[in-house]
Amino acid sequence: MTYSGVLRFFQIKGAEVPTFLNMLGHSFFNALAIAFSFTAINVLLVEMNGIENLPYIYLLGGFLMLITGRIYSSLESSLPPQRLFTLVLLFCMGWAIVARSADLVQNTLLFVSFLYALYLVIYQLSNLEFWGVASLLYDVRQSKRLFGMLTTGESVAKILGYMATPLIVTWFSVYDLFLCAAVAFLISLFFFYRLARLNKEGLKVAHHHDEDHEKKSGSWLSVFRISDPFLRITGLFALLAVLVYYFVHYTFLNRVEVHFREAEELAYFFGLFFSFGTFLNLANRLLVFNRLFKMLRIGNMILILPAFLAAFTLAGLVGMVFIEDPLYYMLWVFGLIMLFDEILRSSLHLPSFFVLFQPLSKHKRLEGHTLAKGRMEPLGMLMAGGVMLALIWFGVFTIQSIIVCLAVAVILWILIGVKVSGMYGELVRFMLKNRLLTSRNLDFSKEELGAIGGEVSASTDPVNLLYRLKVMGPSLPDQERKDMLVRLLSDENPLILKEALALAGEFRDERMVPYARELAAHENLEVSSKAVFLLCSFLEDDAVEELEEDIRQSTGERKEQLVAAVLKYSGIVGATTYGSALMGKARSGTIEDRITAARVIGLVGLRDYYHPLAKLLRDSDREVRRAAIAATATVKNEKLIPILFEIVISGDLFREASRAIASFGKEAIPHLVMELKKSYDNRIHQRLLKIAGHIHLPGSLRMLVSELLATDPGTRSVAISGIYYSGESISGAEVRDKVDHLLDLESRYFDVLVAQLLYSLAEDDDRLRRSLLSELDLQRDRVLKIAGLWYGRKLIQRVSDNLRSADRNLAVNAIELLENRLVRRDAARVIPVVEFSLETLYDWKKSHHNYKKDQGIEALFPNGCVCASEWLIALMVRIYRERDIELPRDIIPRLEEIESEAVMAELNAKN
Amino acid sequence: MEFLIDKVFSLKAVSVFEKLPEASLLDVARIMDYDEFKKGVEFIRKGEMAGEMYIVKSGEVKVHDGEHLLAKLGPGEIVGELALLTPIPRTASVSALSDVVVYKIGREHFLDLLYEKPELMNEIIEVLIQRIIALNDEIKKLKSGQ
Repeated sequence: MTYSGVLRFFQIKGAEVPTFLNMLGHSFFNALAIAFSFTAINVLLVEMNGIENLPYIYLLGGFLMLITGRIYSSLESSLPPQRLFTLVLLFCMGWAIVARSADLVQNTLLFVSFLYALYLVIYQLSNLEFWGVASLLYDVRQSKRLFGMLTTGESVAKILGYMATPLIVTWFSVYDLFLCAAVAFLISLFFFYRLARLNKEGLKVAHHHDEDHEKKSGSWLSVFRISDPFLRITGLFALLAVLVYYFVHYTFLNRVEVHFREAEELAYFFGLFFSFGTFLNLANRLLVFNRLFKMLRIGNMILILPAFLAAFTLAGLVGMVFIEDPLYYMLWVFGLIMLFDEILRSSLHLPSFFVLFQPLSKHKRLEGHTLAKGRMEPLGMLMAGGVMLALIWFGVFTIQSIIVCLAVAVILWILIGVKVSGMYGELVRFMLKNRLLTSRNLDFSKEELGAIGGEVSASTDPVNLLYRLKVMGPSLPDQERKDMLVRLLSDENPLILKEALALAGEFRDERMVPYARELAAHENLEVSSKAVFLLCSFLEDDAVEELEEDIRQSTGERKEQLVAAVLKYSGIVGATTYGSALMGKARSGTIEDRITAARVIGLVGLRDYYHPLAKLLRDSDREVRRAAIAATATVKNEKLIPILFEIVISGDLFREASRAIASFGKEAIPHLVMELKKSYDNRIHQRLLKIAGHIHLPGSLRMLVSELLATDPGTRSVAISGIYYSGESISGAEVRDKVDHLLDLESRYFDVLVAQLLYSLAEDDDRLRRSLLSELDLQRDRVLKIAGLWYGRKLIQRVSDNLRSADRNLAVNAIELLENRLVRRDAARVIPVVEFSLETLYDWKKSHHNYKKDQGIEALFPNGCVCASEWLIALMVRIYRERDIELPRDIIPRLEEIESEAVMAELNAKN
Repeated sequence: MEFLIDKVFSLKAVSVFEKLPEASLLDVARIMDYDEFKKGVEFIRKGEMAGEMYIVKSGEVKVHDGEHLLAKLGPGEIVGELALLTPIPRTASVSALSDVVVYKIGREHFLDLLYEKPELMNEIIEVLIQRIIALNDEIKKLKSGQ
């Protein structure tokens, strides 16, 4: 198989290879380190007869997890990801090195117990780190393609790690397993650094977060304040899952302790046991579980593990009562429970559990994930430890009592699971009936399609059919999908027809060819265009012959569509038949021909059309250039970007060109960086920066962040707006400093502007007074936006809406909102600006005894800065002129420095 | 020499702009062109697609539909403000009754400005919404009067 064949087989794109290989290396060695650590710490604890310490370990582990979870959240918002993840890996490595020296410590059992509790934290952190890196590097589509491979690599690493442990323990010692783990963490760090080098933009920019993030890092006590009943019940379900896990964990280790004493024996047992478990896990994930996912509904999937554990726990209870010497029997039963718990939990239970949140809104989904992953793990661990301590307290801490507790927890788990399953069904039904699901995130199983889909699609309303096809299409049986498409393609409404044609193309259903053929002659140009493209995509080379007559007879837009469709899908045949005609039009002396050429190229949308399009972009005619710019959005050849920048800088059609550049996304960023380094005037610089604001990627956001303190107020304003409208709030110490600086600046300007209002000039001149008030209005918006950079757009939007409302209570509420959410220092700078009105002028005067009554134009330049719009300055100059007030001498050079046409005009008129 | 400040004051007469801060109107003033028409020139024809808004600076113009006179407009008055926001056919013709000087804002330039200054767009949207609310109130009053 060739290199490209291998890539195709694994569904990896060429450009993704370096990142993917390093990510694979990173996750592989991380998993290897975890396998070594896990085996070593378990062997040590069991060998030292430390199982009786497990209740305390759970308590300490749960407590430490709460603390580290909190620290991780706060670091996540203050450190760039690269530093945060490096810290995590170094911490893991440090733990392994300290653990290696456990044999030097006197009270080894106590020390090992402490290390065990820390291991539980390490495991959590390394998971957070891996998913954190993955989420920054891959988008949803890449995740679907690549995560399967990454997790398979991880499983292979674990199998190898577990199998290697008996050998390492035999040749060296258990403690050396920690050394191996440290080395594996180090190699993982090495791969991470290579990853960071390859993905500077993705991993170096400060972490972005929104209001949801603040909730995520809020107090863990918030679990008791969840208002959504579905989240509450799933949270309880997740808690019981953790509780059951630790009961199983305890009973399993307890049984192992009874049977094995020696470190080597234990290493063999754990190594083989867990490598076998991981192998089964991997095999099942690849062979069995995907099919189960397609067959069973999610509500039932989440009950498989509890039901399985209930059966085995029952077997354990029966054995305990009826078998005379149940030692071996119990080891087997709890060995199997542990084994299948590991397998089912990671490959079946957790994936289906997280699917439960998919119909929810983004905000609630995040809340659900945080609740289940972040909050319930430590809480469940604490609870398991607490129950065991209670049993110790009452003197009934025996394996039998733990098994009884396990049985009770499993029964509760099942009962809650049934409730969750019912609520999930109702939720999906409600969402589908009310058309609230808008994406295909949900994969529907056959059972769900029968139970829920049938009800929803009982209606023959085409909009309902369309909705069902859109949301459930890929999961529907072939024939049913075809019937639905046929019904939709026979509809009269052009909007329905357009959507149906798009879906027919998406599902690649060749049975739709006759319908596409019929609709290709539809009177609505948009419908016929979609139909022609769909038809050609099926006919390929044959389209040339089939559409030949049509093309000859048609004119205008219709002809453009037909030619473009043939050129796009009929390969060399299409190119030889119509390609030269298209090139001829592109070179034609007639403007209309060149416009047609540009539009056809846009419709074809193939990268190969770079040369003619580049020429058309530089055409002498404006309308040809306009059509060519529009075509770049579909042709998407990055070689066109520099020409688009030329247009942006030239000024004519810059709006169209800017949009076209932004549509290139990531590819446009290096060009943009280069252009911003050149010294254009402020207007062009701002125009370029504005493009960055429309790209919405970490790289473009960084450009905007770097301009936050630009000396030119217009540039600052573009940077602030760009970040604000991107909807991202930004964090990191550097950004915090910039936000601080901007708020300081605005706070000073505010005082200057208000003092001007009290100056006699404004008291006498209504134009100036009005302008100052509108200047303060503009400043209010600006200050809120600056606060929004740090506190998130959602909050500021809410505040702005309330402030604009005619209802006075809402305005008061807006100020309260700011008081509650902003830290005191920020509130002190933001609130006075926000709540300023003529009624508060007196309060301001009282609190600013030292303000100078002799304000005037010089006050607009505090400490060498300009703190007013050029309008206000120009107006002041005019008022000075009208009243024959002489401008202070040292002010004139400052006025000239502003480079404002309006100010200069007033200044020259005076002179 | 034409002062930007004066252009801003002229813009304050346009209802779409009257509530906008002067500092924002300075940007609009920058894209204003200057045009002169001799007496009798028909500079807007009914049915043509509207691409510009005019503010009469000096002189007098008449708004007419063929021979039928609809209105006479003088300095500070506006012709075709909605043309800035949407391309609509002119509903009447406009001719100069004397030598006139007008300020002119082209739709294309105005859209470029809105792209560069989205804040301005937000402000205009707010003004238009206020107008809709006022019109709705007017309709309610008329209905209750009936």
